[in-house]
Amino acid sequence: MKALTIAKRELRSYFNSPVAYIIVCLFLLILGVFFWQTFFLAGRATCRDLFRWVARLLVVAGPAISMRLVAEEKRTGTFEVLVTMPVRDRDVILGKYAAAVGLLVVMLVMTFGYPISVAQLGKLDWGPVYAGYLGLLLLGASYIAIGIWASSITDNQLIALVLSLVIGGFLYFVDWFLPLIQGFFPDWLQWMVDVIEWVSLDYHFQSIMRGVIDTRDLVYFTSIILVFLMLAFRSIESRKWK
Amino acid sequence: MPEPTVAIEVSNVSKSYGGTRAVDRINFQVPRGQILGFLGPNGAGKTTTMKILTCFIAPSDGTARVNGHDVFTNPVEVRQSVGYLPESNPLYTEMTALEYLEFSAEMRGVGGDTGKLKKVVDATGLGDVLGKEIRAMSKGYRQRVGLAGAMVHEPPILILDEPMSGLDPNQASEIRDLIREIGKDRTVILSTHNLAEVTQTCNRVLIIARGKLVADDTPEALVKGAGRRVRYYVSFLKKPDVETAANSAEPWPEIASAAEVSKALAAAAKEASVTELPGDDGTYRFEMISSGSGDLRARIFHLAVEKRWTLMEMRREGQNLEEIFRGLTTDSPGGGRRSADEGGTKSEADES
Repeated sequence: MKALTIAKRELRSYFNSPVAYIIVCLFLLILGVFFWQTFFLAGRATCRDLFRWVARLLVVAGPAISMRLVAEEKRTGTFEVLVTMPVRDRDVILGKYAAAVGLLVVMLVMTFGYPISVAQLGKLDWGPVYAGYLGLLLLGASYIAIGIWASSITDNQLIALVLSLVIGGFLYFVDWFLPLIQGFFPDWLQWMVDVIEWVSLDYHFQSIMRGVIDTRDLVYFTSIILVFLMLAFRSIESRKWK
Repeated sequence: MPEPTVAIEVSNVSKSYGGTRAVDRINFQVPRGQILGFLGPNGAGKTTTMKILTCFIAPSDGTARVNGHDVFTNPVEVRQSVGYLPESNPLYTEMTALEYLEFSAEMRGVGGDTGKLKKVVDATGLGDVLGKEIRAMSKGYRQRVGLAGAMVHEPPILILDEPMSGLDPNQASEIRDLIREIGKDRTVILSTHNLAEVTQTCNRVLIIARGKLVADDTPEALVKGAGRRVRYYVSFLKKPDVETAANSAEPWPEIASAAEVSKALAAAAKEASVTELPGDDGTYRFEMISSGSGDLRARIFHLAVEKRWTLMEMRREGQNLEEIFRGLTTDSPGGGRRSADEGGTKSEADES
């Protein structure tokens, strides 16, 4: 219940400041440019490219949404007021996390116009669209979990942004380099390829986007989210022992 | 649940940051209904102690109970029974006062209870500014919003960290009255380094220096108990009043010099040191500091009569709280390392 109260306040604070509007507008604008550029070239009624672009933009948008969550409150001092209210530390993290995911959902809903337009232009297979949105939600939620952790270890939003960009970007793009470096692995190190694939957010996202919802991918995303939420919780709890 | 008679119980609490001990084995109890002033120089450990009592940080050693709940095992219950106003009163400035109070009420489990909300708004006099954004408010009003937010759930205990610092004298006195009013049916701990506030607001004072408790008493008893040094302010008329001199049969001498009086005073009261103060035009004025326990006023009076000097002022003052404070917080326990310790406190104060 307390987490919900915190989430409500956070959401309101997103939309009371220009930050949320700027992030959402930039996101939609860049997405529009990239998407329509290639859409007519390909000449196919599919949303695969849309989801690829959204996924790449989320690498930046996720950290941008989450960077202020804890860091800003630490800077202004309201963090002390918040955590000395009768509330558990984990509810503080959960509430803030829920608000950021809420904003992510708003962003994703605003892209519904694309599949609807595409469906007007040709025969669209809706199955992969639903799967794609599920994948994007999980992907974005992972970035935000990384972001809230990064935000919880500093009182500087910029540090939080850069840190979560680096970690999130690494986890997303790591399998892109695989074809380049694969040849250098000796035979007995080939298992490394599997490991790299397995840790890559992109690999699991692609897998869901194909329209096959595999438990392994769900487990992967849930683990990333839980691990970073746990780390964030530990980080705000550690103030007690410093 | 029956409320325990001891609101706050601190036993052997220590807190170290890195290598430094901010709080060093502190013990005290606060019975229900007391307004306790927490005094000490910057960096003495006041804020640390308050943060421990609100479960913002955990003690490195020792235990503390607030309203019967342990700060280690029941932090949420502790916070439910406490209203806490941190130093410098941080607030969500983009919210309006009403939004903030509603948020605070919901977080403290009294959301939707308009009766409680209205009561706290009335008590803090926020009725006219509820719709105003906090960032547009004066410091005095922000302080009221902070206080209102901290006590909207009617907690039995209030912990206020320097609630009156940074306010102008009018605002400070309003907040002081407010705290006194609130404190009628609550336990209040407030920290300050303004000593006048303590005498006016609190019925008990704890003085803390370098992480240790150095005094624990009522403000009156502290002043009385430290009565080893008493000051007297005495002034004499230089020339006798013309009318008095004219109507009197016996002559009224003129005082030749301040030194003459000073010598006479010193002879009359051997245990006191006499210093001349700047008097107004027609008088010589002196301060006498006595370390003895006897009252010098009778002797000064008889001296004046004997010398036929006109006594214009005679006032006796016990040591004030400020001096006691300074004595307690700068004297090192060993006594010999006083100057070194003073240097230490100074640099601590600079850091904070």
